[in-house]
Amino acid sequence: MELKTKNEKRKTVLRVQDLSKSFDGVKALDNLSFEIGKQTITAIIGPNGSGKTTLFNVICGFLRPDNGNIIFNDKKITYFAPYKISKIGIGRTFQMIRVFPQITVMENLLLALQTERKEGLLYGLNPFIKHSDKELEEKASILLKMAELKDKSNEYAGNLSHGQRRLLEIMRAVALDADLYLFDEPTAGVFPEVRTRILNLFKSIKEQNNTIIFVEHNMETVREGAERVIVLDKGKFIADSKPNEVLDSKVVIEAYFGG
Amino acid sequence: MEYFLHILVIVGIYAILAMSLDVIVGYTGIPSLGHAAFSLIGAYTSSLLALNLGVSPWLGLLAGGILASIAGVIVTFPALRLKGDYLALATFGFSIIAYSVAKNWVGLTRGPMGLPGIPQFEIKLLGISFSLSKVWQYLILVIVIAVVTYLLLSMLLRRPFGRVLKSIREDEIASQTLGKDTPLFKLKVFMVGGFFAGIAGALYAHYITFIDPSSFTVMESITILLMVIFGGMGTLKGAVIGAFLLIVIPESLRFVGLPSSIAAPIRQMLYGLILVILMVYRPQGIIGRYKWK
Repeated sequence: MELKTKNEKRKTVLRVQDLSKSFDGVKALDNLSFEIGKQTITAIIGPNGSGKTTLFNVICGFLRPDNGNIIFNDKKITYFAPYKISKIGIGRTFQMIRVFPQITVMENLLLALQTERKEGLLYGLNPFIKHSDKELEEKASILLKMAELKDKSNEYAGNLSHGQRRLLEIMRAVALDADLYLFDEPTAGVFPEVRTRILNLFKSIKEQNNTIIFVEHNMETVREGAERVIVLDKGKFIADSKPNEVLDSKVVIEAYFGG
Repeated sequence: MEYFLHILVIVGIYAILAMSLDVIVGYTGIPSLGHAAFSLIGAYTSSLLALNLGVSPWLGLLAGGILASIAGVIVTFPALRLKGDYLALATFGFSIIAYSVAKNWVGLTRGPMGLPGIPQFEIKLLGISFSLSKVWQYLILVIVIAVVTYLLLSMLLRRPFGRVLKSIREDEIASQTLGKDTPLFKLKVFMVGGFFAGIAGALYAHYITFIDPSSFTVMESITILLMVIFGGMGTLKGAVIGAFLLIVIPESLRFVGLPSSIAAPIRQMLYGLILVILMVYRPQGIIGRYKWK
């Protein structure tokens, strides 16, 4: 199925239909419906508690919705387990960074790059196969270079600075070569130089024909990085437009500062 | 001299136990509290096959490992999707069940009376056959098996499979977002850990030639766990060092020359004190790099 906009045929990567999720009677997601087009960069913003991270958690399979559907590349993925969601092409980062701290930066990336076949027990115990990570390490080095983390390759991920860990988590997701990336506050707490690097990474991802949805509180990032901004408040959409229009809209400002 | 060789045989058997537990606890981060149950299954399987059906200990060794491995799968399967702590309780519960079965199913295991007269390993080479009845002979067997265990496990852990295990330890949720079916990996880990623990149990049985449930209690499981923690979680060499130290230190305290009336309790207190000091000043273990979260 294709979503035709004005002059171009664009494929819909993600379609969310009537998605609802409540916790103890509080509606975190209230009948949400939206579509995300391929090769777009969309920001989801909203005050705390508006449901942004819940939305990501439901899409990624960590939470079951009370009702509604999630369709990814024309496939219904609503009740898929998180590992399956990743396998079919959705990569994700977290608000609280989740790199693997007590293993090296390189190993963090290798985990994303290694193939399922070689992760098997039989392959692992077979003394007649000579295994080498060299090829994957070369791929990883390219990614590390993009993030300017090459010299930290053998460092434990937990020893990196906050900004470096954010970059690592993003690169690790990028290493999955996913169709759709969900970044949760990718530039939170990072220095401006790192923010710029992350925004450049967004551009490369888009150039590779892939799609990004990111949650952010940092409005600079939203203004510079997003093509479309969706605003969530109390589980419902209150705006959906271009960054400048949304960020200057009265409705949105009230949602953040109002009652 | 034979005494020292005997100690080394015991160290070798515990080294295999500690390495197999380290894969579960140190590399995958699953607190497993019932490891002795796997060696119980290996020991009893091999012994009963030999005593009742005349099966060669070599085959019994393998059968013991396989049955213990299957037990590992059965124990973990229902508990896989539960939070980590519940999996730990499941392993603990299983070890109590295994001990109880060994102690109470007298018809099969002779209960607390144990199984005496377990046949020893026999080697048939070029028309000559002999039993591994001397300690030094058994030591060679144990060392060979321990080294093979070490080589196989370190190869496994260096490969992509091992990397996934570490990712589960570090952050299971993040691991899932990289496409890893973490419950399945946990199942496989217990398969592997159980197998080698079963082998160690069978080795013990055909060495001492007598087993009873008291060798496979909860305290045993905790001792093996302490060896892993002491030596350094997440490194196989650490598990071996832990096994060595936690056998040799208490044994060497025998020679300190304490008055016999207080020797045993003092030994235990010193042992405990050494452990506490180590855990305070070096919680990652002697050569470990990974701290318990």
